[in-house]
Formats: sequence, structure tokens, C-alpha cells
Amino acid sequence: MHVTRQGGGWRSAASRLWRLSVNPVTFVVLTIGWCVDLAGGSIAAYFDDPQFWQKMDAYPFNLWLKQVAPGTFPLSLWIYILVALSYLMVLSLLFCTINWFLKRRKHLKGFGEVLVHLGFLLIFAGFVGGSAFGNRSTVVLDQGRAVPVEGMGISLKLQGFDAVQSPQGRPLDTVSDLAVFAGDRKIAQGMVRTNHPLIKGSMVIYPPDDYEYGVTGGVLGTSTSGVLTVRAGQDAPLRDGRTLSIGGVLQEGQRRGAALGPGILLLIRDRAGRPSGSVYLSNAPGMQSAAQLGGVRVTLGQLLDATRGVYRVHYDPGVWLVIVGSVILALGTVWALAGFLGIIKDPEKDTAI
Amino acid sequence: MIKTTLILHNLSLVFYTLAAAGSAAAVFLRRVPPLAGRLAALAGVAAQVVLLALRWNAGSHLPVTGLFETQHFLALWVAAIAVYFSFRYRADSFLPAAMLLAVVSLLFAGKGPMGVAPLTPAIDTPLFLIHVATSFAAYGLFGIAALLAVYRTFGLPGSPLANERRMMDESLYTGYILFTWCMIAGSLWAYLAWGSYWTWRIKGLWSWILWFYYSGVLHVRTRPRWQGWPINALALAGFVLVLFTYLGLGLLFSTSHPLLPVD
Repeated sequence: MHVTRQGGGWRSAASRLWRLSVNPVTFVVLTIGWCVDLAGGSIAAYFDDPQFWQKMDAYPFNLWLKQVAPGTFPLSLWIYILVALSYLMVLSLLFCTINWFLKRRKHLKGFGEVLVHLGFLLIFAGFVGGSAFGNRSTVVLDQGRAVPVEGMGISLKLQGFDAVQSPQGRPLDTVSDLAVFAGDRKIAQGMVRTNHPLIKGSMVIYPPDDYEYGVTGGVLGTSTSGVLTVRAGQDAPLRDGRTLSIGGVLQEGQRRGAALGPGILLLIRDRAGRPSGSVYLSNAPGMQSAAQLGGVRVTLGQLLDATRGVYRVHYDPGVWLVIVGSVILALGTVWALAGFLGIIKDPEKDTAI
Repeated sequence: MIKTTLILHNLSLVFYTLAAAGSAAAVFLRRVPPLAGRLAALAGVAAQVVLLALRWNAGSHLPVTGLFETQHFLALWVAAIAVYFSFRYRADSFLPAAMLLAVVSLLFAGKGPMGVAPLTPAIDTPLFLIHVATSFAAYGLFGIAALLAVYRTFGLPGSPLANERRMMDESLYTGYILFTWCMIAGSLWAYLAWGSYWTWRIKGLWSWILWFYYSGVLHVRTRPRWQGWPINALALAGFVLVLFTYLGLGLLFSTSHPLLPVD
């Protein structure tokens, strides 16, 4: 008798736990906790470090959680709580969905909402898969050279590049002709531009975050320091401690005021790094290729040019689950809306109000 | 185009103000027939539809880019739903508040540049247009739900009590579904344009907060214990969240969704 009562107790406890799990209010309570945690945490993280999110986006989530989050503890505590609440919410949704199939197999009332649940569960599964097994990498590609992508067993080659600009010369977009190799075998090729990445299975390659295209610097003859090379981001030191640097470039055919491209805007900086003079030098017809700058005579020898882009490569094995989940979720909303509008048309059927 | 835009913008402002005044007079003073307010609101809706159609034609894309167009879209949605409610549920007492919300939205729209700008490559995709159109439609519906909550809470005179619950239900349900489409289109667009359907950025995170919040609201909206003040409070708090996500983050934080174009 005693054993029977214990078994009954367990069954009763399990039954109560199941009812609690499938109760929509459980999901709502978890949701409120999730929202409060994310709201507070996101604002605290923003004010602690405005670059917090960019740093987080540079890693697959699991890797960030393992390698970076412990270093920012206790500020990152809210993310651990968020993860725990997310799993509890998903469990609640899963049990609720299973419960629907157990209880309502004979008619389709609420099937739209169940599709929404299923879609969300797939999206979550895809996110977890992508976070655990995904990879993110950044590669710098010089035109014509193949570069291996770390941790992905492939290499990328920039075969062609074009910078798209407005008639006024404002940079608008870039078009890159990229090829993907596995060993010596070419496995994909395509033109990459904004909103049109190169997709190969679960791997996606995005247009450059940063690029150099055309004139990037020049070789200069100077009256005090001999021949110097100056490039964007790479200054040239003069013997007296001052430096020459690139203040801007104009490409072939570009014009700004009286200046015609191709050419470079050369800055001279004092020892403290402050600009103390500038001159535009160009080999274009009618433009000056030599000038006095801060007491130094500078002569433009040749212009240097480069074609180079910084590309992001993402491998996310969960992304197709996410896409399928999104489609199912969208279908579920359409189904649910159709059912809801049916209720609206006949108020007598609306028992919920 | 700017001259036509300005004329139609001001016309819709005038019509919505007249609709607010007319419907208030009809409900509270009973000196004007309710139809007057409805017709003025309809005229405002028509002016806005013409304005947005002309801009669609001029820009060759759905006019939902920039502060001016998105606020117009929001006002149009709010006004159209209010007109629908006034005809379907005779909710004329609701028109003054809804029209005032539309007027505020239009005044805010006037702060943005009125020229028709070409799409930059990053937003030159149907996913962006779906994303923005559905989000502002959803914001409008959540705003309507919050106004209805105020009516229900304070029992404003002339309030059609029998239908308020139904109107709120329609606003919350369809608003949530539109916001879901907004999230799906936005995530897919982010995947194609920036490499990830999910980014840890404050605007995106707060959008997820909104989505989960209204998921919760939908789960309890028909449960007996949550009727009355709890559902009213949830609808009001939801719109506060909407305002913070849209305006608060845009004004106080550096986000991926700036309120005004960044040059």
C-alpha cells in the first residue's frame, strides 16, 4: 500500500509538472523574465562599452560565451541568465506543442499557432547549431592571389574588382569577382556585392568591409630626405622629424574643385603629428606634379595603386534550419491570421471575447 | 515633387484635425452627425494614399524610406484602422484619440526631409521594404491597442464598451503577425547583406524584446484572469516599449537604425 501511494505521488507530481510546463502562463512568466533580463543587460553593456556588440558579433555565440564572456564577468552575468531563460522558454514551447498534438489530433483549430511554435523551435535549433559549430573569419585579398581561410579548409581568390560610385564620385558599392577553392579544385565562383553575397552551402562570403581600389599613394622625390614612399595609413618620415602622409586621393577621372585625378593630397605633419600644410600632386595634364611643402620641395615620381579588399566569411551549419523554420513560422502566421479573420467575420463564433 | 508633397501633407493634417474635432463634437456634444468625422478622416486617408502613391511612382520603390515616409505610413495605418473601426463597430468615440495620434505622427514626419531619395545599395531590396512597411503597420496597431486600453481603463464617455475588447484583440493579433513578418524579413535581409540573421545590436535586441513581449500578451489575452486592467496595462506597457524601441533607442543610442539619415 505504501509503495502504491508513493507511485501515485510521483505520478501526481509528474502530472502537475507537465501541466505547469504546458501552461501558457509559464511561458509568459519566462518571457517577462527574458525581456527584463535582456532589456537591463543590453543597456548596461552599451553604457559600459559602446563597442560591446560589435566585439560579440565577431565570434560564433558559443565561442564568445566560452572565451570572452568570463573575462567580462559579472557584467556578462545577464547573458548566462538569458541563455538559461531561453532554454526554459523553448522547453515550455516544445511541451506545449507536443501537448497540442496529444490533445487535438482530430481537428486543426490552432494549427497556425502550432506552426508558429514549430517554426520558432527550428529557428532556435538552427541558432544553437550555428553557435556551436559555426565559424567566422576575415580575409584580406589582393587581386589575383589565393588566400587560405583559417579553419575552413578553403581558399579565396579575388579575380576582379570594381568600385561603383555616383556621378558625383560618391562611393556607392563594390563588385568583386570571387572564386572559392578546396585544394586546387574550384568549388564556387560569383560576383559579390551588397545584398548579394556568394553562398556555397552553409558558407557565405560578404562584400568588403574595407577596400583599396586604384591610387593609394606615391613615390616622392624630396629636397631634404631623398626618395620616399607614402601610402594611405603608412606615413613617410622626413629627416627633421616631421612626416608626410596621404590626406586623400582622387582616382582617374575624378575631380574635386580644381583638382583632377589621378593624384594624391599630400599632408606634412609636425613632430606632434599636427598637419601644418598640404598640397595636391598629380600627373594629370594641367596639374602640378611638384611643389614646396613646409619648406621641402616634393616631386611626384609615380603613383602607387592597389586592389585589395577585406572580406568576411561566415560558416553557419544551422542557417538552413533557421530558413526552413522562418518559412514554417511565416506560414503559421498566415494560417493563424486566416483563422482569426474568420472569427472576425462571424462574431458569434468568437468565444474568446 | 516637394511642392505636391507639402500640399498633400498639409491637407492630410487638416483633414485629420477636422476629423478629431468633428467626431469629438458628435460624441460629446451630439451636435454633429458621426458621419462628418468619419468622412473627414476618410478624406485625410485619401490625401495620404495619393501622396504615397505619387512618391512611389517618383521613386520607383515603396515609399517607406526615411523619417517623413515612415511616419506618414504609420499615420495612414492608424487613421485607416480607426476609420475601419468607426464603420464596423460604430466606434466614433475612438476617432478623436486615433486622429490625434495620426496628427502627432504627421507633425513628426514634417521634421524629416521631404525629397524622394534614391535607394542606396544596402536598402535596395524588397526585404527592406517589407521589413519597414510591416514594422510601422505593427507599431500603428500596437498604438491603437494602447489607446483602446486608455479608453477601457478610464471608461471615457461615449465609449462603445461592447466592442472595445474585440477591437483591442484585432489590433494586438494583427499587429503581432505583421511584426513577425517584419522580423522575418529583417533577419533574412541582415543575413544577405551583413552575414548574420541575428546580430547582437541594441536595436535588434529590443525588437526581439518587443516580439517576445507581444508573444506573451497574445498567450494571455483570452484567459479570464487577465481580462480587465491586466490586459489594458499590458497593451499600454507594450506601446511604451514600442516608443522606446523606435524613438528612445534612435535618439539616445548609436544604433543600426538611426532615426534621421546619417551622412
